[in-house]
Amino acid sequence: MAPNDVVVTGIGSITPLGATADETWANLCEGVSATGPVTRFDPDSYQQCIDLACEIDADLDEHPNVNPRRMGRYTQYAVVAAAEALADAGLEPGGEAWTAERVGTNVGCGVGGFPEQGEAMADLYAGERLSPRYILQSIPNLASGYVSIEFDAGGPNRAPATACAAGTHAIAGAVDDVRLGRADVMLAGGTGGGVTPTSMAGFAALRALSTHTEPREEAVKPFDERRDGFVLSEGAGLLVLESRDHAAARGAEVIAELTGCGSSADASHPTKPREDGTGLSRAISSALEDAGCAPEAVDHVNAHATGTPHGDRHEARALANVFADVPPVSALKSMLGHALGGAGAIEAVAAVQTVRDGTIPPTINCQRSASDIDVPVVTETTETPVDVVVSNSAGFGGTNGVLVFESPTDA
Amino acid sequence: MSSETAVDGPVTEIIETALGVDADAFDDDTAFGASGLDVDSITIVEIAEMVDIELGVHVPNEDLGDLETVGDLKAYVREHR
Repeated sequence: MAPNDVVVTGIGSITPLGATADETWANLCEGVSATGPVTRFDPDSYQQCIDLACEIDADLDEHPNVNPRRMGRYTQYAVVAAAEALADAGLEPGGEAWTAERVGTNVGCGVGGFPEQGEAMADLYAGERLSPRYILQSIPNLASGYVSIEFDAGGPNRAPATACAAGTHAIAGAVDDVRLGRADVMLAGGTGGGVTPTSMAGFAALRALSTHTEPREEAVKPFDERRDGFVLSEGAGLLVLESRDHAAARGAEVIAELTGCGSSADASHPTKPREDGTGLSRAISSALEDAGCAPEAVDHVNAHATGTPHGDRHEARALANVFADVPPVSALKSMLGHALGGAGAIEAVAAVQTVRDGTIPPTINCQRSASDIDVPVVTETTETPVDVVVSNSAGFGGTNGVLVFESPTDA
Repeated sequence: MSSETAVDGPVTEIIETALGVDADAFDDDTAFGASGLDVDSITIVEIAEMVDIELGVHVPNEDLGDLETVGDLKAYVREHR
């Protein structure tokens, strides 16, 4: 039996640039930076922390699917994005087109409840007792678990924890579920709630964070000569993926097709990508092969590009390995910061919007060409037909994930 | 054994906090189970933990299942405090 085609029928996200996918998209296309001062904690009170973060300021306590006492922050973001994606898809849990056991969830994250873990450590080491909620607010699969609980999705249920590629890998895993007929619908994406003292100090200790504090909005500089690291961010992105037949049967509008997925390991170092970029380029090539798409057909690359000196250089090399002429490249973390396990999924939502609207969002703060970067970086919002977008992710551990989105066909 | 006033108010407040409901939503006859507050297994453990921390009464698992109503919990705390 031929595998099912996979289509995207709904998108949702919550990010520091917007409480909905389209609010985020509008700000991305305006080149707005989310980078600002830290408000969740006093960075001066902790070693290694600096006053620089991308934070979500939406109050989620009244959201009908959020239970703040039960859900860690990363889980709250996931259920909010899932609710939006389902509404966008016109799918109602329990409704006529909903067969619970044929709807699955796959929501990845890097760590799980980063803030909840930090608070619990502080409590326990101070001699206090932990809440029975602690484990359930912090283990990494509870975002996927609560999306299934809130929306009555009884199909496949998983949660990759592949660091900053987790959202991308979750979507790729969900594609397999739909292709192989394990589910008709998958709610897939990623989430991260990593603006915490432990997270900031930990990444600072790895010298992965930007130390550019003024002006803050210029801190993240992907592909720029001056790039010096990323800024911690948070949020979630969710896609509703369906088999083409299921979407057609219920008369759903197809926003984009998800035609290819690729993954690979650098198998060389826990944080430093391979110098020649071959780890990521193998993932890109296998995704394009999976999609049956020639490299020259790609119109746009939604880069991982966190703004670290090594990471951006290796991604540029990976792109040069695959493309004779590298397509226009955007680095959305220049505006969104790095939402860790949520990043790949938030960027996947933007990739779908790129195809939907024929608009390529810009990379901000890329002003000085870098001697070690040779890719065409998009610095201005560009209106142009876009049929094929490649979206890259890479994570600590040397893990890579790539998705290929295409404009809808009538097939 | 503690007095009613020393126990009932704090237990009521713990239940309010744990469930996010007002005190007028339940009384001593209200069940923790599906016919009343419909408290799940995690929340009843959380209530027991709060009682232990705030009132100094540990409710072991073997006793927790016997506490069917709000009044049962108050009586247990009064008896063991």
